[in-house]
Amino acid sequence: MSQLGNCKSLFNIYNTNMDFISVRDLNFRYEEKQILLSDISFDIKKGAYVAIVGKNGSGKSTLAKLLIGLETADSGTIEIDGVVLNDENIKHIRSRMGIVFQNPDNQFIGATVRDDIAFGLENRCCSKSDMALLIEQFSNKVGLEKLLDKEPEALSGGQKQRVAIAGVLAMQSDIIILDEATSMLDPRGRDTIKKLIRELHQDKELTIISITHDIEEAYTADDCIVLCDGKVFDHGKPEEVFKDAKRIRSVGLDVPFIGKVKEAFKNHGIVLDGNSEDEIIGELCEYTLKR
Amino acid sequence: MRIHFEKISYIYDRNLPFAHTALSDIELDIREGKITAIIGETGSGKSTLVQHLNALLIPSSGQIELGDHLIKANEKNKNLKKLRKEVGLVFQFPEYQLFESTILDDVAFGPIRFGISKEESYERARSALSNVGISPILYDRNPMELSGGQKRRVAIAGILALDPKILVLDEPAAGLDPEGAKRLVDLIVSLNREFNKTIILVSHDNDMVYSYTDDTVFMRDGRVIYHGPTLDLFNDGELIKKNHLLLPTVVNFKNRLREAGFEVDENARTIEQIAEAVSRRISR
Repeated sequence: MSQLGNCKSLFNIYNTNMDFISVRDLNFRYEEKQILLSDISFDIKKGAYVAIVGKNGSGKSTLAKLLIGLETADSGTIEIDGVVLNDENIKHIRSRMGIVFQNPDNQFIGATVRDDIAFGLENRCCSKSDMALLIEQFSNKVGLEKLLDKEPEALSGGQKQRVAIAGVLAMQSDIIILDEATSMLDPRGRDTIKKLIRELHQDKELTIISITHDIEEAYTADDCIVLCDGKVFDHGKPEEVFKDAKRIRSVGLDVPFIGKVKEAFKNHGIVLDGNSEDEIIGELCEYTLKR
Repeated sequence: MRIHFEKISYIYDRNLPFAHTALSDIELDIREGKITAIIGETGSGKSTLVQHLNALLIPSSGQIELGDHLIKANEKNKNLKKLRKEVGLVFQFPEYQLFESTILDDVAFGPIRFGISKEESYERARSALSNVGISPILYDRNPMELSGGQKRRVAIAGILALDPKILVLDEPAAGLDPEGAKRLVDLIVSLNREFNKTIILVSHDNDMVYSYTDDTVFMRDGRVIYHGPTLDLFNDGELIKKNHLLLPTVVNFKNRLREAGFEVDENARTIEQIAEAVSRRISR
């Protein structure tokens, strides 16, 4: 992995500011008519796991495209690790980021799964032997080892998502953007990938931005950004963001399972405060004893 | 309409070196008028199975009885057009198939193609759109202007306009926001209860499957390892353990409540029903 290491060291970590990604007053409209994003500002700390939630059409995917420079904002700035994105440096910055799109059909290039994972690495001055090692390592982690010689086209929706995820992880980017990246996986597969991403996130060098409809996932993030109609509706700790059921539903989202349980009991006159199943079951037992 | 699979096997790229068996020896009788879920890990054969329901795929061996139609392996099958009118298939990400310049035209396209008069086709398109909750204000809009959830509903309306007896949906809620997903589930339930459609849906959302479906087909490695009432499947500890089936959150919670000494009715399948059962006990 030495070559890749050299590659990474080209980027100086000269940013002493804790905010790793700084978005300021971002505006973006589509063909003059439809406003997709307006006055978006937020900061993300290095090593944070940030969930971006919002209903379909709220601007989440557009924001992801702006962050990796696939689209250019009409106004406003995106600063990553102290560098304000512009046409000249975008390629440079982009090489530190990986993105997994919702529908991986749109991002396959290789003729086989192996080639596809290799593609990103080839673009990053990675030697053949390092490449083989990385491909093996990450395809095992996402459970693709038996499918490496298949054509991506022959895979199921969920398997394709795994290929896309392995490709991005193998590049060892320091920012990973997941755009509904596990939506097609089966529950166990999703669980595995979520755990793997959590595990990779442990080292705190990796910043993860996960665009998700999975409220349970968002609930476990460090921070949660809620978009509504192209604006930041809320930004904070998940416990705060999902506290008020009525408010969060007003923007087309929902409370996590635990919130729904509390709500259902409240309808029967039982008020629970706990934030986990354990706490709630404990409270219910106390209720029973009191009677 | 009877749906009966008899010894169905399907091999992709048969006669080629990378041939692979996606389904083997499937025997199934799907109940009419019910909601049946098809679950299983990615690559277990779910999508391959449902594509047999309207003869998009013809079995490599075995036969399928679909109402008056008999689809056999190695035989030229006739009358597929009639079958495809009776069994509507909604693919994964159906919104990618919207192509007309207005929503109404897009939905009317199907019936027109099936030889129904223009007038009636538009009539059906309007009623299908109203059934999926798309407001008439949007009829003349371009489908591309809609949100993901709305596009999905328009795509479903396109199938409903054919007035199928059976509606097959492959991961209908994938990629939708919670509100969109909930409305879609409500729509599917109402298509079953009010419009009497037999529903077959592929889903990865075990919570949805547990709360809203009658029967479940559980697939693994191209075989059916369980077919029967959904509630019984998720009560079968041994089967669950053996096949690493991830329990719905509701079931986990129910089990934990039971361990803590609360009596929860076997049939309670939603959070609301569980809360009701437990609070009844507390206030007794």
